[in-house]
Parts: sequence; structure tokens; C-alpha cells
Amino acid sequence: MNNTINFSKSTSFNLPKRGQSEFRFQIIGIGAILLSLAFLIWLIITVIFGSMGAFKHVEIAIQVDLTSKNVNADDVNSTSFGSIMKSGLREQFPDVKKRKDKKKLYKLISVESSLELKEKVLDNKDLLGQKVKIWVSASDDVSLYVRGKIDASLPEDQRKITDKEISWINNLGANGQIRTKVNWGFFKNGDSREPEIAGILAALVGSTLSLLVCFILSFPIGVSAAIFLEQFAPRNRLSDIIEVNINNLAAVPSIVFGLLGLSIFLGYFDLPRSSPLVGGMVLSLMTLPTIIIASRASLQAVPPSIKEAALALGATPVQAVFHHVFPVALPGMMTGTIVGMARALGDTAPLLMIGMVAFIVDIPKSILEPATALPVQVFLWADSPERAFNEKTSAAIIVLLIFLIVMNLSAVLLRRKLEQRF
Amino acid sequence: MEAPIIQAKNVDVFYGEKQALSQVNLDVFEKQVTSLIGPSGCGKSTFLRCINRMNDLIPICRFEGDLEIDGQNIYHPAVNVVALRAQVGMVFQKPNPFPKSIKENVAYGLKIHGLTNSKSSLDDRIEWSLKAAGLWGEVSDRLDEPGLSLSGGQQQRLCIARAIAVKPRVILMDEPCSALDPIATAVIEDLINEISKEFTIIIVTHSMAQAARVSKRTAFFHLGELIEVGRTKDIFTNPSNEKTQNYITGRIG
Amino acid sequence: MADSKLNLIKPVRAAWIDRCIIIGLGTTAGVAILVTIGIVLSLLTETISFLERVPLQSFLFGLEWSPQTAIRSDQVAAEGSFGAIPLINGTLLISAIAMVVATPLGLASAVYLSEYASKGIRDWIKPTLEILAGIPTVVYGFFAALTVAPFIRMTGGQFGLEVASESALAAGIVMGMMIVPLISSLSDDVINAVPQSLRDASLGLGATQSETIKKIILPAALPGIAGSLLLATSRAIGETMIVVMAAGLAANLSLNPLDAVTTITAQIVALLTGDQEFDSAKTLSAFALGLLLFLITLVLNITAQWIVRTYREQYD
Repeated sequence: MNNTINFSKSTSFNLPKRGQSEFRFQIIGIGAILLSLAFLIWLIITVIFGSMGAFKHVEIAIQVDLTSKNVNADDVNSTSFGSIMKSGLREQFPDVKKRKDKKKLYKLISVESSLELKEKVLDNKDLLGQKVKIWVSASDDVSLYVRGKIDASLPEDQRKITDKEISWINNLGANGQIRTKVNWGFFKNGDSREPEIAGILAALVGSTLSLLVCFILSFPIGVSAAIFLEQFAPRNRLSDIIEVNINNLAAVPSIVFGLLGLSIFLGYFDLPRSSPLVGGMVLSLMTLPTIIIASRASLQAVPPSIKEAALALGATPVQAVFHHVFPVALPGMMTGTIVGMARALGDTAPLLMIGMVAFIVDIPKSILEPATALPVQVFLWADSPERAFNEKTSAAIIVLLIFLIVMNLSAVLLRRKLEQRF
Repeated sequence: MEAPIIQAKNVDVFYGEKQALSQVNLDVFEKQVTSLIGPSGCGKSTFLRCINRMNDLIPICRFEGDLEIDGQNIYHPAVNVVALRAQVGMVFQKPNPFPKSIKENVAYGLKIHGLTNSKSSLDDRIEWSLKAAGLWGEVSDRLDEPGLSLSGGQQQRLCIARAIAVKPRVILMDEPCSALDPIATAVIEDLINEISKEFTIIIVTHSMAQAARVSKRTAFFHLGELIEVGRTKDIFTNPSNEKTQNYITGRIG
Repeated sequence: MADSKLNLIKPVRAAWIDRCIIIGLGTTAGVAILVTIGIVLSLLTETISFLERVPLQSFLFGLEWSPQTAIRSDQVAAEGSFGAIPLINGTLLISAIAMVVATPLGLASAVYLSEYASKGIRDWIKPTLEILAGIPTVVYGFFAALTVAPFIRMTGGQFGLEVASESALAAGIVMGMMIVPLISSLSDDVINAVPQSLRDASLGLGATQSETIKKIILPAALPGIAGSLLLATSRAIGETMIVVMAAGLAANLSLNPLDAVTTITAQIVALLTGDQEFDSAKTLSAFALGLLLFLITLVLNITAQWIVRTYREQYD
């Protein structure tokens, strides 16, 4: 045995080597965390910067002739607003003669612009009989160019916009006929084939309706199942099976629930395809296990003394649970439900299975009409070849993430409230 | 009397704002058993855990004063806790063998500190430790079985074997028998007597009878202060302080 | 007082109402079973009619997947075109890449957070990492397809490597990042379940913290960690959107992470979106794949849960 003790850093016990290995180990841990965070930041920054353009809307002003020569004031609907716009463009650029060039010229403005003009006229009949300057949506490529997303220094055949078109746009710009404003249409419109018109509202409504159905179905069922399992279920084989079963359901891939929905809700019960009703039903199946597990945890957290106090006063077990245990556990159950529904909101695969992937222009008015959902909209736009849909996808992701943040935030606030009570 | 191996001078310990020890001055002498007694919450375990700096693990714990082992202040910045703990071992309240084999439990400290350089010397040291802990006869034929398969008393002796395997100068024992039955306790107490010939032992105990049986010197703590320290015989038969008197006669505690 | 005797008989009506309520609650608990039965039945019936057209062994062991050939009604499911092996291969390849990425990152961050980080740091970092788990997978798919895949292709190109534009690597890496918080939080729970007394024993012997973690805590937590890795693998195998968007549909039988492969889930989506005749072998094969997926993940989940439960009982 050594007779002196030495505690200093360098002598025995391999201390320098062990100190280094300790240091390395901690660096690995910090590195892992930083790497994950860096990935998260990379993702979020990519999406945010990618989405910027989608919130801007480029418009072109065109002098249109709405005199009686072109429009019959008594029958506005029969008017060809498209040709009015085209002649407006031709007047501005009288040099354009060739058929092919004319076609290019017309493509400066959105395909949907004739509809926009029509709506403006219907809104304001005073425009009739005048020659006025009207602002309409620019086409997606023009919009990209005006916002500097197309590199004009590239050779002509490598960009989506020709030198000629650029000279027209510059001409319009010099005359103050191009403006950029906030793209409110993105929040007001449904989907469209034209990126400059396409909006998120239909998907937002579709998601909201599906989540409503999901909540109405899964919350009462989930909570009462949890109350039964936690408070009344006899300890036997059946309740064990139910327990294992619920844990497994929570881990079943979501696409399998979609297959169930396709085969049973659509195939067997013949419910309307693509509808928020079926979407909500499928999502509720997925959410159910989460709600049951969270609700049981919440019930377990209620001190047993509360129930015992009620029983000691002569309440029946059912009364004791519903009068005393349930109200205390309710905020926790709500929190679990919101968290589960937030996950359902982001889930895409099962909705693809039941046909909520259709192209929907109109805002759904009931849970039986065909609809799409936010994450599906992201999927659809991400798949579209037009470059302008790229920024739409990012913008739709932002809307989806904000929706998610709002839901999770409300869950956190609920939990805070719960914590104050104990 | 020879010079003390451990000297505590004006030791204060705080948990956040709360003071757990105040102005403790205590000398511990080599190769004998010193027991720390006192009512629960008196700071005796806190003091014990200061001696190998296990309190460092509690973020809010703060140490002030001077605690010297072999003339070196163990709270000096140049001190390495690993080297310190390799020479000041510890046995805990509840037996806590690692979920490994009996052999690996004893070999653990030797391996991490690189104290043996061949397999045969490792085996020799394991045998020596288990013999010293009085466990060899019971486990020599099943060294590869898990440490957790032993009985409670055997597990605690395994933990003692694990601690003495690295041949520390000091062994700290924090109520080592509180989770054991009386028979296992008696075995451990004999063992403590036996190994005190080789090691300096400080034992925290809630049992005055145990302190009287195993230790040569006893220190009595009360409300974070060291009230009295002296030869065990004197403390129990002729305490100089009234509080000690009250404690050993059962009036406080 | 007219009647001073204690009445110890329960009122009949209250007992009856209680019974009804309890039975009602029990019925809702049965819904969970009903869902499982629904899944199994719907998948099984369609799979059986699929197997009437395509024999089981050519589905399970066939090396070629090209469901397009069965579109024409006179050419029902030519032998070999419904072989699931390329899909299983692709699924496992991408899941393996994901686990290779996620396991070290998830474990290392769990260890650091539970053993080293101060409470203040943990309270910030943990929820931030959880955001990774909360982001919808369709967002990861978009990110994988439009940012990570081109990035990998470009990087690979600089080293003279031929990288497919829909490489397994891109999908796998992004999926791995998505799984990091799952592994991290499950392992965190498992590591925290290791009793403090073992840490004390090791530190008390003079082990450094990293020695304690490597030699005591991780071995003790190993079964629980294995369980969480199995759960994470099951999650990776069942993940759909990332592979649909980033992995594509090329049913290559390849183990090269730079090649394009396809997965079970991506094929199910491809088979069932768009127009479909309900009774064709092509459509039915999606359900057979669904059943295969369900069974694989079920086995993984049950094993994982069993391991974790046995592990927890050890320290209770």
C-alpha cells in the first residue's frame, strides 16, 4: 500500500488520459445536440425564406375599353373579358405583330385575369362605358421575374422568360403599370392550376372540418374508455388485452389507418370519398389511442384521497369518479387530446388513401363535400412542376406550422393551468 | 497520540440558502473506526459526503472551510476528485452492487484506475478483496453470477469488497447496515472491526449501540454542529455536553 | 325518530344506474379492440383476394416489382411482377440509414441532457428538440426532396460519385433527423430509470462521469435502449410521406445508399392514389403490402414493449 496520498492532477490513476476521454465524451454529447438543432434551423430557415415570395402578389395595370362597343351593360355575363384584356395589351404594344409573339404578350397576365376583370365590373357597374386602367394578376413567370427570382443574366434558352418578354415587362414597369402588394388572395382562395391565384383557404377549411369531426368522435370515446380502464375495469385477461392493444394501436403506421378507412368507410359503408367526414373518422381512429393513454395518465395523477373522501361520504363509485376525479383530470385530458389532434393535423398519408388528395377549388361548405387538407395541399403543391408553386408550398407549410403552434401552445397553457391547481 | 489523517477546520456547508453544517472541527485518526452519530438531519451524512466530495454532485451544495487529508486540502482547485475518490472509498446505505457479475463488481475500480496490469494479478486482488470482506467462502465458486443474486447482507459485503479492492486510505460508510437484518448487521460489524486494522474508517450510524460496538472514537452532531467528539467509551459513559447526554439517554433524537 | 335502525341496503335504482354507466364506459373501451379487428379484417380480406391472383411465394419472395403490367385485363398479374422483395429491401435500406443517423445522435443527446446538462439548459433544449418530432412528415418530405437531395447530389458530384436524384441517402438522413427526438426522449426515460445508487457507487469509487455512463449506466439501461431503438425502427419502417416525396418509385434491388429505391409505404400510396379499379390485382396488392407492413411493425412494437416492460420491472 502506498503510504502517501496524492490528489493532484497528473500523477497516478491514468488521470490525464481519463480527463481527455471525459472531455471527448462531453463534446460528443454537445455535438449531437448542436447537429440536431442545426438541422432544425436549416429546415426552418429554408422554409421561411422559401415562402417569402408567396406572400407577395404582382399586378399589371391594363387600359381596358369597357364602353358599350365591348360590353353590353344589360348582359355583363356574356361579355368576353378575355378579348377586352387582350386588345388592351395590343394597344399598349402596337409593334407586336406576329401571332406567336401576341400569344406571348397575352401570357404576361394571368389566365384567371379575365375573371378578375369580370368580378371588378360586376362589383362596380360605374366602370361600364369608360376606358379605365384596371389592375389584374400577373402570370407566375412574370411575377417571379419582377420579384427578382429569375436570373436575367442566364442565356435566354435556360430561363422561363424571353428577352422580348423582359423588354415588355420593363416597358410596363417604366410606365408604372406594375405593382407588388401583399397577397391576401393566398388566404382567400382555394387551390388553382395557376400558382398566382392558388390559395390555402380550401385546405384550411378542410383541415378544420376534419379536425372537428375527429374531436367530436375521439374525445368522448377516448375519455370514457380511459375512465373505464383506469377506474372500473376488473383486473382480468380482457382488460390486459385491451391495454396491450391500445399501446400497439398507438404505434401502428398511420397509412394502415388510411387503408382501413378506404376499405371499410368508403368500400363497405359507402361514405362520400374525399370528404372531411371520412377524413375526420380516420384521424379519430389514429388519435384515439393517444387520447386514451394521455387521459389515463391524467387520471392516475389525481390523488386517490379525493376519490376515497367521496366514497367515505357515501357516494357511489360512479358518483365519486364523475363528481370528483373527472373534473380534476379534465384539463390533462384536454391537453392530451389537443396534442393528439395536432399530430393528426400534420398527418398526410391516411388522407391520401381516402382520396382527400383531389384538386379542390371550392371552399367546402359541409363535412360531406370533397375537400383537401393542409398537409395534403403541401404534398400536392410540392409535386407541381411550376416553379412558382415551390414558394406556395413553403407558404402552406408556414400556415400549417402556425396552426400547429397555436394548438400546441393552447395545450401548454392548459397544462400550466393544471399545474397551478396542484 | 499520532497526527490525524483527516483534519476538518471550520467547515461550513450550505444547501442553497440553508446552512447544513456550521464550523465543524474534527480530527480523524488512521487505522481506526470513527463513528458519526446524531439525530436525523443533524448533518452527519453531509459531513461524511464532504470527505470524498460526493456533495459536488448536488448543484446547490456549497462548501466553505478547510478539509485536509494527509495535510492536503481536498477542496483545493488542483485536487482531482477522481484521484480523491480512488483513495477515499465509500459504502452506501442500501447495498448497490452494479448489475454485473460478482467478479466484475470487485474488478470495476481496479480496471477504471488501471491498478492491475495482468489478469492473474487482477484475480489475486479480487480474491484478496472478497476474502477481506469475508465473502470469499460463500461466492468463490460462483464469481460469474450477478451481484444482484446475493442476499442483502452479502450484497453489502460485496460493496465493501468493491470499495477495498482499490486499497483506499479511507473508507466512508453511510449507515451501511440500515437496510439489513440483525444477523447480517452483526456480520458486517465484525467485518468493520477486522478491516479497521488496514483502513481508516468513518461510519455514520443511527444506532448508538452500533457506534459503541464498532468504533474507537465517536463524534456527536446536532443541528449541523459538532457537539462533542472523543473516545467512544467516554462519550457514552461520561459525556461532557448536556446535549450529548440528552441524546444518548433518548431525550432528543 | 321513527326509524332509528341503520339501513345498510343500497338503494336499488342507484345501483342499476351505476351498472349501466359502467357498461357504457366499458363499451367505449371495446372500440379500441374493434379498430384492431377492423384493421386486420379489412387488410386480410383484400389480401386473400389478392393471393387468389398472385401466389403467396411469388409475392413474398419475388424479386421484381412492376404492378403496371397488370393493368390490362387480359394480362392478369404476370408471374414475378408482384414480388415484394425490392420494396422490403428499399424499406429496410432507408430505415437502416435513418437508424444509423438517429441512433448516435439521439443517444448522445439523451446522455448529455440527462447526465451533464444543468436543469436550465435541459428545460430549453428538450422542448426545442421535440419540435423536430412535431413537424409534420410532409414538411420533411418537401425538405428532403427539394433541399437535402440536391445538396447530397451536388456534394457527391464533387467527389465524383453518381448520386440518384431520389437517393435512399437523402430520404434516410432526413427520416433519421425526424427520429432523433423519439430515440432521445425514450432513452432519456430509460436512463433516468437507472437508480441513482448505481451512479453514486461508481462515482464513489473514483470513476469519472463518462466512465460511469459507459460502464455502468448504459449497460444497465441497455435492454430499455434496445426497446426504444426497436420502436424507432418500427416508426421508420411505417413512415410514409418522406419516402413518397423523396424516395420515388423505382423498385431497384440495391443496397447502395446513393441509388434510388422505393418502399412499401411509397408503393401503397402510388397504387391507391389516382384512379383505380377496386378489384384489380394492382389495387389489391396495396392491401397485401399494408398487411405486410402492419405485421412487421406489430412484431417490432410488441417485442419493444415487452423488453421495456421487463426492463422497468427490474428496477421497480
